Amino acid sequence: MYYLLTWFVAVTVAWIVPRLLPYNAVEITVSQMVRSLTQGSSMISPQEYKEMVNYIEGLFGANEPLWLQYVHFWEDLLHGNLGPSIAFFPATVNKVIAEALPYDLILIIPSTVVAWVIGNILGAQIGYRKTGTITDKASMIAFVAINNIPFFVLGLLLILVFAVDLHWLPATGYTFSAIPRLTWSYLPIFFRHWILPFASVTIVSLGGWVLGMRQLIINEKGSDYMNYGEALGIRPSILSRYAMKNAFLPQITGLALSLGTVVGGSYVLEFIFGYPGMGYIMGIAATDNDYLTVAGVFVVIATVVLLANYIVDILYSVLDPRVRVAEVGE
Amino acid sequence: MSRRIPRPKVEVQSIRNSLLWSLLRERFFLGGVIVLLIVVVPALLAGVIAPYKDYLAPVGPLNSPPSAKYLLGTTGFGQDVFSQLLFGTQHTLFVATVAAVLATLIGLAIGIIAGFMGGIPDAVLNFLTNTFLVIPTFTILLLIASIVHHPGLQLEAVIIGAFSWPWGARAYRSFALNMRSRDYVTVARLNGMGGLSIALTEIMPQMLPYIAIMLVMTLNGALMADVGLDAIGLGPGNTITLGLMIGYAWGWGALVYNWWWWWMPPVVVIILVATSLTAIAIGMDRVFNPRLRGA
Repeated sequence: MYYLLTWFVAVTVAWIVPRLLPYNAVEITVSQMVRSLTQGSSMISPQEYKEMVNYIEGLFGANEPLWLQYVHFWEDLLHGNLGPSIAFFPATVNKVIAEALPYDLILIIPSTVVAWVIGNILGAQIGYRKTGTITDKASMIAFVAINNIPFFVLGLLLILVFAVDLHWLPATGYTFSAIPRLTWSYLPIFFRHWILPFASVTIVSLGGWVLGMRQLIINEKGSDYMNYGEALGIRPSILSRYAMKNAFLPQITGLALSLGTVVGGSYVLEFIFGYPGMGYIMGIAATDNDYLTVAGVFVVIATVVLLANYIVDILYSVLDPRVRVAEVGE
Repeated sequence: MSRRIPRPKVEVQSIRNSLLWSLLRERFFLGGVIVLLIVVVPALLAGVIAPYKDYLAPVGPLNSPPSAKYLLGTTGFGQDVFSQLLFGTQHTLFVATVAAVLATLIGLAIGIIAGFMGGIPDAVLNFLTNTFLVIPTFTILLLIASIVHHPGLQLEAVIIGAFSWPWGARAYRSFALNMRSRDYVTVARLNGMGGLSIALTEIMPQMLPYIAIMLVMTLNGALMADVGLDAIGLGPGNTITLGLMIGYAWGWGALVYNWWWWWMPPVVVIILVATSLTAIAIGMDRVFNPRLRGA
C-alpha cells in the first residue's frame, strides 16, 4: 500500500515537472520533430505543420483543462501506452523501453548483488581484525577513494587499460555487427561488451559496502553480548558469525536505498560505453528534447526501483525475526 | 551526539577551541582539507594564473601533448587544457556548492518541521522525503534536461540543488525527533518558548556539527550529479566544466586515440575532490561522535 502511494507520487512527478517549468513542451517537441523530419531535403508544408502541432497538442493534451490532462495521462499509462518516441521515431516509447530494459537488468542486478556480497564479507573481515593498524588505515583510504569515483570515470580508466592499451576488450558496450539475439554466437559477443560496465559498477559499489560493514562490525564488537561471549571464551570464529548476522540487517536496508543511486549513476556509464540500456536511451532522448521518451523511461525506472525496494522489504522481514513478529502481531 | 556544548557562556569558547583542535589533529580531516585546498585555491585564482584567459579559444596546435608552453597539452580544438582545467574546476565547484547549500536549506526546513512538529506534517513530509529518496534523482534531472536545454551554471545549480535534499532531510528529521523529547527542550517549552524559537535557539546549535557533515556529503553528491549531467552533454553550453571537458574529450575520440592529457586531468581532479570531501566528513564524524574515535 505504501509502495503504491509512492509509485503514484513518483509517476505524478513525471507529469508535473514539465508543467511547472516555464517552457512550452509542445513547442519544443514540435520544433524537434520538424528538425528530425526535414533532415533530408524534404520540406513540410504549413498544412502538415499545423496538423503536427495539433497532434502533439493532443498528445500532451495541451488543449484540455489540467485535471483532464492528468486523467488522460493516467488512462494511457494504465493501458500501457507511453506514446510515440521522437528521438527514435518511428518506434514507440514502449518498444524502445522493451528493448533497453533487459540490458539494464542484466547489468545492474548482478553487479549490485556481487558488490553487496563481496563487500560485506570483505568489510566484516577487515572490521573484525584489529583496527587502527597501517593496513587497516591504508585499505580504508583506498576504499573511500574507490567508492567516490563516479561509475563512468572508473569506466573511462578501465577502457584505457583494457581496451586501448591491452586490446583485450572492446571499448563500447554494443556492437552493430551482431544482431542482439539469445543465441550461442551472440552471447560471447555480448559478454565481451558487458564485462567492463559490469566491472565499473561492481568495483565502485564494493567500496561503500566494505566501509559500511567494517563500521557495523566495529560497533557490534563493542556491544555487551560480544563482550559477554568473549568473557565466556567462545571461539572468535563463532563470535564473528554472531556479529555478522546482526550487522547484516542495516546493510539490507542500505541495499534498497542504494538502488536509486546505482541506477542513476549507471546512466552516464551506459552513455560512455554506448551500452544500450535505459540510461543510454535517456541520454539520447534528453539531448534530442524528446520529453515523451524520457518521461516514459522515468515511469518504468521508478516502477522497477520501487518493486525492487518492495522485494528487499519482504526479504528484510523474513530475515529479521523482530519485524516478522511485529507483522504477525498486527 | 554532541551533548558536549553546555550552556555556561564561559566554557563554550574553550570547548569550541578544543573541538577545532581535535578536528585539526584528526588525520582524515586534515588530509582532506589540505588536498581540497590544493585543488580549490588554484581554481579560485583561475582568472589570475590561467595562461589563456579565453579558455574556449583555440590557442595552439591540435592535440599536442603536455609541453612547457601548454602545461597539460591542448584539446582536439587546440584549446589549452590547463586553462580549461582551472576554469572548469571553478565552475564545477560553483555549481556543486550552490546546489549543496540550497539542498541543505531545503533539507533542514523539511527535516526540522517534520521532526519537531510530528503528527500530520511529519507524516506528509516524511512520505515525500522517502519517495524522493527512492526515485533515482538523476532521472528527474534528465527529465528536466529534456525540456530545459543548456541551462546556465546558476540554473543548473538550482536544478541540482532542488532535488538533492532527501538524504539531508531524513537525517535532520531523525535528529530533531531525538531532540524533541529531551528534557531541556521540554523546559524551554514550559517556559513558554514558541516552536520556531526552540528550533532555532535550542536545537540548531546542537545540530551544527551534524549539518556540517551532511553539507559536505551533499556537496559530494551534487558534484557527482553535475559531472554526470555535463559529461552526457546536458549541462550548460558555451562554458567549461569538469564534466564538459570529459564529455568533449570522450566525444571527439580522445580515449580511443589515447590523447590522455585531455581527459585525465579532470578525472584526477574529480577523484581528488570527491575523496577529500569524504575524508573531511569521516574526520568530522569521528571528532563529533566520540564513540567512533579509536575505531
